[in-house]
Amino acid sequence: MNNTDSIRSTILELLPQGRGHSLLRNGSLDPSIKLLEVGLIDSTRLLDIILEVETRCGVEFNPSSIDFETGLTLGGLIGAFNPAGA
Amino acid sequence: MLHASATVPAVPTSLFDLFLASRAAHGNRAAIWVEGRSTTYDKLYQTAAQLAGAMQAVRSGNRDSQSQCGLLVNRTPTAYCGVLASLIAGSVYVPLNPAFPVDRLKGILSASDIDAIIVDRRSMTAAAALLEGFPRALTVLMPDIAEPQEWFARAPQHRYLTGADIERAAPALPAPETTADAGAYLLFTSGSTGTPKGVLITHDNALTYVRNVTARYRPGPDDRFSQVFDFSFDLSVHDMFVAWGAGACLYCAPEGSLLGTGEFIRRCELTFWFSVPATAAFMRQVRMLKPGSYPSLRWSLFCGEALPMALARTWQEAAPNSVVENLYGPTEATIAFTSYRLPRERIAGLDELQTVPIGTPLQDQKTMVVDENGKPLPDGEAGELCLGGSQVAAGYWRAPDKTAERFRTPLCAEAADLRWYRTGDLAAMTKEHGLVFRGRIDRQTKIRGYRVELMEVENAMRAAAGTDTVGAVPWPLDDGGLASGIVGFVSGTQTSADDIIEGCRGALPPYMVPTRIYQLDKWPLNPNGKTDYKPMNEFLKQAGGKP
Repeated sequence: MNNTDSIRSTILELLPQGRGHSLLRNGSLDPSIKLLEVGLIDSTRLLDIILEVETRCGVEFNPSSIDFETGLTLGGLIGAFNPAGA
Repeated sequence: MLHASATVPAVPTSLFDLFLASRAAHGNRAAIWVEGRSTTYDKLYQTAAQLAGAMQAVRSGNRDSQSQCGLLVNRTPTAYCGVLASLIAGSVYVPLNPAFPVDRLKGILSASDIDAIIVDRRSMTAAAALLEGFPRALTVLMPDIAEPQEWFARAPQHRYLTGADIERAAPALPAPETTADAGAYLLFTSGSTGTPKGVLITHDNALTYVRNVTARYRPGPDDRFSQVFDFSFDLSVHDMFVAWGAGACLYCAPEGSLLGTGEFIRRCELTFWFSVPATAAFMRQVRMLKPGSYPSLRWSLFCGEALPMALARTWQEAAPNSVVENLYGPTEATIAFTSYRLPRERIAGLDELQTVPIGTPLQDQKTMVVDENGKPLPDGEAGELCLGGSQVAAGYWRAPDKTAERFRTPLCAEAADLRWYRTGDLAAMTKEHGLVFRGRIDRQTKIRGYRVELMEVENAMRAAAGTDTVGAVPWPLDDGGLASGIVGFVSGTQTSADDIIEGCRGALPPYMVPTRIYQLDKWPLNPNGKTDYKPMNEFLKQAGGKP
């Protein structure tokens, strides 16, 4: 499993299973779904996930790579993690 | 279509007059920037006048009486247009957050006697759920859709106006009968009995506030204001009318753009920032507050909850050209009532405080710290903070008992001839820094700036869990003591934690829904036999919030 895969699987594991359950298909999620807008996640949970992904995957979150006009998608979130110290 | 011109009054008597004056002076400049597109003052005025015209054309009843217009909107161009259209029509606008549960919105619709409602394209699903089950006939204005929706047939009691209907309407002129003591907006806040409390803010209340902060911050037409609050939060009124009163442009942060906040400030070159401290706390935790990150900002304003000192200092370094101010005030006293300007230099005695002081009252407003009998306390002693002056509302909406309980005048001669509100906040007046916040006298708390009565959360938990033995605790707390959520405790129920949470979702706004429920075998009681919340907090600290 490469780093992107491990970041994706960690995020999907940590996403709340209750409210967003219907959006998850066989453990995967449309990478273009806007996570905050559909209510799959809120800011508190988002922060938990970012910190957990950093710890588990040895990466560092880079918020400047998120396009504020697009909104937060799974694909965008995965792409915002860089190798630690990079 | 030709648009009649409205006359700019010499002295503004309504919030709309502020917009009108800027439209006259800066008609071709941008008033709002939403979803990547800007709209000029002229265009926004024309669209709002047309929407108001459509509303007036179908409204029955006496125009001399006050009417309420609901706004089921979500920071789209139609949302801003809806605020202005309501004011042009002489209506009180009532924000209805589409993310709130349908039953809560129905309660607000009923309580506020709304006769018209404006719906934007993002709120169609919420509108269908809300209007299908609402028996009283409403005029529903939906400027963003061209054709009737299939669900209209399931709610035939209402009258629907789509974009095409609205385009055919003659634009309205501002209602001539709008006086300073007329209502401008009606907001509903969390209530300890489980029913939200309405607060009607008049044009006079709001104009006093806008005048006060405009004198303090001196915004101009070249300024670029942030707009991150939803309309059910009265801080959005500051954004709109301080910006529009100055002829400036309001930059609406895209929905769900929390992680893009830094980029939003930079790319839009904002000069005014206004948010709850929780937004800044989030930005700090994801390393968005590096020194020098936001050089365009001139003013950084925070309100809605206690501002941790360390967070304020970090923000000050991230926005080195801006002045940081902490504003304080409940909805009942119109947006914000006191302010504290954080000096750039570190000061012994100040930087040791955990939270930034709340400072001194805005111009011509008064504060008083009183004991439990309503008598003033000397400086330095902590007591209940009372607010008096022209920013204070007349009382709660159609709730004389609640009004009598909270809108009480302190027992001293200096308090006479002013309207007063007892906040329930504990504060002490200090010589060095003005008022310093010391907590609450009751179980009200703030979650990401939203006022939350924990008793209201517990009422929802009781109903969902089928037990009276419930407790709600703000959690988790960050380093500065800011709560970002609520955790629930229950005992004596077979209902699962997931079902309790789901039940609460049906009754409470998202920020009030417990994120986790713990089942306790032994319920903690204090010596008086009441629920003891301290062991719950201790449990959470030890567990780190995890099961």
